[in-house]
Amino acid sequence: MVIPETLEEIANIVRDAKGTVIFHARPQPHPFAISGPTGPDVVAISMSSYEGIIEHDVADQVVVVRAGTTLTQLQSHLAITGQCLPLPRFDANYELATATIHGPLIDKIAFNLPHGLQFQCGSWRDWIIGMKIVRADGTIVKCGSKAVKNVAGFDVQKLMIGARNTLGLVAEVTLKTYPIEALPLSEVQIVPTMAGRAPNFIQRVLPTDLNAAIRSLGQQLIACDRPSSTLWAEVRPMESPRRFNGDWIMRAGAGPRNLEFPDAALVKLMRRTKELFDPGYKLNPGAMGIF
Amino acid sequence: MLSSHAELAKALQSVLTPDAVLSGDAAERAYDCDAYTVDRNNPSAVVLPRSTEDVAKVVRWCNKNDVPFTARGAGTGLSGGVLPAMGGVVLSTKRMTKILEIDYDNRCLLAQAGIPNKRLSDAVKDRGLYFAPDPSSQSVSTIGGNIGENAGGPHTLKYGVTVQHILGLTMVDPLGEILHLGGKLPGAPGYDFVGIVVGSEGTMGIVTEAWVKLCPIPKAVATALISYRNVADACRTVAEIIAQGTIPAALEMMDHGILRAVRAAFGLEYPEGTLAMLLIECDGEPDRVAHEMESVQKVCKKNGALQIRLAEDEAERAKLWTARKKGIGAMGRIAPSIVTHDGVIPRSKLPEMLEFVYDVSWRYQIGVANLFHAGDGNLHPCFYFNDRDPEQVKSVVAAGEEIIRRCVELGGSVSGEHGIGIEKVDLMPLMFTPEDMEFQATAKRIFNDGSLCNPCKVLPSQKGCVEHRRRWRGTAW
Ligand SMILES: Cc1cc2nc3c(=O)[nH]c(=O)nc-3n(C[C@H](O)[C@H](O)[C@H](O)COP(=O)(O)OP(=O)(O)OC[C@H]3O[C@@H](n4cnc5c(N)ncnc54)[C@H](O)[C@@H]3O)c2cc1C
Repeated sequence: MVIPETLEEIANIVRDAKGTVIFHARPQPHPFAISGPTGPDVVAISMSSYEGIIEHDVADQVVVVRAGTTLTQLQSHLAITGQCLPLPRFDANYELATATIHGPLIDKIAFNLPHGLQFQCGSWRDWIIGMKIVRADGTIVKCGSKAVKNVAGFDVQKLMIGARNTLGLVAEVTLKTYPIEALPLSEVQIVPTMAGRAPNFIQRVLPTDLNAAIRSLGQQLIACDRPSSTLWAEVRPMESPRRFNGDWIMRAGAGPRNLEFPDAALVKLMRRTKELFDPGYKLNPGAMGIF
Repeated sequence: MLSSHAELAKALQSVLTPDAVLSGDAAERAYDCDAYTVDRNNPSAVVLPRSTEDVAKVVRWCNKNDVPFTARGAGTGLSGGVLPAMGGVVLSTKRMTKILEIDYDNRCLLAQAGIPNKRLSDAVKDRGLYFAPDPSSQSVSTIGGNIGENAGGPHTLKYGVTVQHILGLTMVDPLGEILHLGGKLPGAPGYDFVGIVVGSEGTMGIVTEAWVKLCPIPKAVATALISYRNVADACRTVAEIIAQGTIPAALEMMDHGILRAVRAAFGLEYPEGTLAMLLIECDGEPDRVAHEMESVQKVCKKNGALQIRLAEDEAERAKLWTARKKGIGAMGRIAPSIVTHDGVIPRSKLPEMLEFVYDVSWRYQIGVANLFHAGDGNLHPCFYFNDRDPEQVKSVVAAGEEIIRRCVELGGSVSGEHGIGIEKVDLMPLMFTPEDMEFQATAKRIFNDGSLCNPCKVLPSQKGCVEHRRRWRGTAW
């Protein structure tokens, strides 16, 4: 495991890697991750030392931060000036809703899991206004700007969110912050007997299917966010909860089945995207489950 | 390659139907530019498809015959996005205006790309719903065009831009394949293709249908117009309102140039000595709105407001918005031509930036008025001049460029909502290195490697564009 401290170091390691590069954001892999290859050719990079706030423009409510920074660290920094990222408060009950609340930003952005204020305040896709990315060949590029509204060029940063660092390594992000004063209350409801349990199954269904989905998960349900019609559950391994028209799911602990892409055309497009951004399949291979 | 425009039109008639193809001088001239009229170029023919299938047929035909093609909605774009830069076919979505499905329970709607933005809201109004993105052009601009430019509007501050309201797309890719991206639910795992297509200015394919999100119409709305002695007081108010945790639905600013025009055109009254005005709107649950408006007023008073006018009812509210919405139109009455620029800066730099705009206007001796989305730091300096005077036109272009450069220097962007098109393609290097732009070009290649789909837009130095450019650049001068 290498633990680089500067952006240049990261870029050089990625550029010079002969085989596979795997990004470890935290000591253990993210629970929703699909593990990749191992072997002598694998370079594992820990981002834990590439952390800290680069710039916080309080008046403009914009913060630039290294991706190894933990969410806890960032939220405490922002709180000093009455700002935050609009994720549910650090209440033990909510921890399950985001699964890795204490993890670093790079994980949160890579997995883009739903959270309990998503309907009310949006998510990474809405908050990230700029990014620095290390490409598969080691080139450092940036997208977006520090302006909260910007339509210059293509929004490639959006492609990186939820891409599990398979198209490039998200190294720095510029985020819009939110006034704590304006933070709405989360409407996530937790099943009392399940409080504190870690979900291994997340499902979002159409609002019209929500009640049926709740019934179908039954005793396995941990929490429900009605506004975004999202459910968190602990399902037994190998069990397949009922699916609904147009829904989507994410899993933990089910190996390659953590992600499922039933649409062949979409898989083809994703593969093409991967080949364009990472022709050597060097970055986090296996992480999307399909290549 | 087909030798003449007439031949090309004839061939296209057999791909679709004869009535779906427009050609000849008049058609070519009618489709040679959008609302950015400085650069123009004629298409060889215009087609009016009715369905996704029609669009796919035309695109496949274009590929087979090596003919460039460009999607066009209402043509209200302000950066030359629909200019057929290399000639070829313009695909107008004029006949694709159907609402295909409304799912009230799940608050979403499927429509064809050519439907005007406002018709979406009109269709679901009686069920208490609306489509939130509200560009000032919304009565004509199409959902496809809004997607192309990732359009914003006065209510962007609270409700987000177009991308936040697009759930899924049907798109004909540049080779003529039909793709379905996204769906009715946001946030699905996998690469965010909807996120990259929205705002790609018609360069990644032609959107034919979209699932859009519907929002509940706010239960209460409060609107106020606040007069100030100078722009600095108004700017400070903007910053403080947001810093204290209020997120108004709209936070718009007008300077004295606009105010004078609006007074002349619509008889808008304001206290003597007013040099800037804010329009602030709060919406949502009645209690919360009342509370927000109260704290907004406190901030306004603290920062030297001369007068605060609260709308008493819907009619008065509409009147207050008239000043904002018709501001640019009112300018049109006092000058033969106006050009509206679009740049963004971090909000805190507004006072400094406005000073700079006034200085530029004075140096070039061209009148300027400002009416803009202050809450987002999205500036719209509006120059008024006589476009028959080539010297003035050159000054306007040069002044605009100075302003945009300054926006970037202050940490902002060359465009907040009007897009790059061809107008700002040469300004991209102000924000992006060649490597950054290559990264963007990689994203465009997801959908094709070719150069037929809306060529020469967004990214500079595309193949063959420099030679073609001689034909269209500044043809209006
Ligand atoms: C008076 C006025 C006020 C305006 N106010 C605002 C405002 O408040 N906010 C704002 O953001 N903009 C504003 N604009 C700019 C403009 O209206 C928007 O950019 C709008 O989204 C363009 O829509 P359109 O249908 O006219 O698109 P067009 O101008 O026809 O096209 C715009 C771009 O989208 C592409 N495109 C069009 N249809 C499709 C499709 N089906 N698939 C793929 N690509 C497509 C085109 O190729 C082009 O690149 C204003 C313009 C005017 C004239």
